[in-house]
Amino acid sequence: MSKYKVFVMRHGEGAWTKENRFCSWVDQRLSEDGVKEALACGHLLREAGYHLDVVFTSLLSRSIHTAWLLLEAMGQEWVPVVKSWRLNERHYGALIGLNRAEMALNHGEEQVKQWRRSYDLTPPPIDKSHPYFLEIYNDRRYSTCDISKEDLPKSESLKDVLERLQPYWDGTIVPEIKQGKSVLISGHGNSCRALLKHLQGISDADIVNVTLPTGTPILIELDENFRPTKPMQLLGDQDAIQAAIRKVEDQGKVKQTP
Amino acid sequence: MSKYKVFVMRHGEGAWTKENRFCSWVDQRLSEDGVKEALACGHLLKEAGYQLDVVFTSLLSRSIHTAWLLLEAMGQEWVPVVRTWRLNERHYGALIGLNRAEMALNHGEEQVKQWRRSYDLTPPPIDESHPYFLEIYNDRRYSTCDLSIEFLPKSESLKDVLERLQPYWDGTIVPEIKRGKLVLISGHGNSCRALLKHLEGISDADIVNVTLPTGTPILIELDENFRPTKPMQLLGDQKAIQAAIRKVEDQDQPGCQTPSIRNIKTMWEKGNIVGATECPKAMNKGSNKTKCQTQKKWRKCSEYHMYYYYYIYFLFQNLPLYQNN
Repeated sequence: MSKYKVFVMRHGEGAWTKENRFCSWVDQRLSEDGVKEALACGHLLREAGYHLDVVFTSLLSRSIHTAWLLLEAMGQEWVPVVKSWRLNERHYGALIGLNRAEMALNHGEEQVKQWRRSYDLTPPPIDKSHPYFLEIYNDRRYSTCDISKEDLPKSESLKDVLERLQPYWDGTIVPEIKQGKSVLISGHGNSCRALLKHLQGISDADIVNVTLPTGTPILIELDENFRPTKPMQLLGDQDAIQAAIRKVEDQGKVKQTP
Repeated sequence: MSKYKVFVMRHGEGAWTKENRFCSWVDQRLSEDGVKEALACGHLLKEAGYQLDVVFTSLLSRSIHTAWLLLEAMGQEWVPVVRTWRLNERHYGALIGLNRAEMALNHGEEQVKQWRRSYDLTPPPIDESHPYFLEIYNDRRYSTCDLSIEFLPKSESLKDVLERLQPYWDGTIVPEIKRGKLVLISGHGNSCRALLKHLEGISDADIVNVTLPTGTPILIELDENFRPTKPMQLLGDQKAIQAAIRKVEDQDQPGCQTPSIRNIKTMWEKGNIVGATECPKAMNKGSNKTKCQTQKKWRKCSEYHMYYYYYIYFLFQNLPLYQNN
């Protein structure tokens, strides 16, 4: 019997998605399609009659805009939106801004898949010579975090993501759920995967194969011990969801030239 | 010497503004112009280099959307946005949703003038027969307040607004300001007026005449005792601001009374007026004309003449320029 329900959601398409570049901590906006996805999610949840009580986002604007658009579509703008770096996308270190297909060409599709999908492989860290270093670390938002800026990551594996996310889940999100609040987490591909790994008990080996579609609310039902009572449910048109998953997986592949 | 800065802002035009209906607690959206106003505010604050730390809004979506649009324009979406019913627009009770003609029909024009003009007169409460009652009180947001729903207002005077706003200002907003945070309050016409009355020490009589333009950030600078160090500043293109004020006032179609031109000249010479443009027409007129005969005639005055009067209006609340209808 499910005591609690939580929604987890990966934001919609961003400007770099089409370019197949690792966006990570660079603050790219949602694309027009990403905006539509977020609104569609909101309409879906509204039609299903869901009432949200609090929404959690990362500090990245695509996550926040997704939350805002979703709440607008639901007519629930008044719902509190709480932002934390701990829900940020995985930090891809020196790979930030690089094109996935080119990397696959240089390093092989398998290596790229490992970097993207392995549990504890950390890419090389970002450093001051990186074109996006200052854009990230000079941003005022990273002086407002609950750890000092020097201690923020310079690169992360999925395992690192879970390590910095879990205290937030346990200390901030879970208490809200326990109070009976209906929570939605507007996250990113990897921050959602890390959380789902934790909640669903997915093994280190299996998480590699888990791909989340963009702009699809995922409903997780938990018992009083926060264990899942059933597999996670991707809400919405199932064919569209499978197409969306394939779309994400295709981004890692090398383009086949005719 | 200013220790603290706070921004207060009245959201932009809503869907009912053009219809001249009291929107109050009905959750109307911003109009397209209202959206543009909010974005323009954000650009203005961004160009001036302001970096916000926390934004407070009411529970009404037009206030929240204004905050979101502003933060988006500033590239500061990550800034916390905190919402409370205590910043909601004044609750207009039974007058909610009515336009001027309907109000005059239902209650008499004189009575309505009193309700709008006074500081502490409360309109009749909204009740279950009111067309918007359920839309408001069945809304889940009002079950999330720090007061249970039965105690939320059914009608308010401006005084009531300040009474429910002030604890929030003192208990939640002030501590943030004291921690050195730059705060912006995205409020409504009357919730902003109530707050400004409190901060600027405007009297009960004078607050009636204070009109805030929509979509204009108001900067208030305060000393360590939270007393203003200078008159509040409306940021932005001053002509556009005056036009915005006129636009709000046109909704009420006020009559007008102006202080004597001689008095204004005296204040100007003493240097007590900050930022007013000297209007050749006003200064050289020499006549003792103290009243504009009609609003229409006033509108024909030169632009500077209008601007001049309005600026004084903001700086010297003891000189009501006109009476609201």
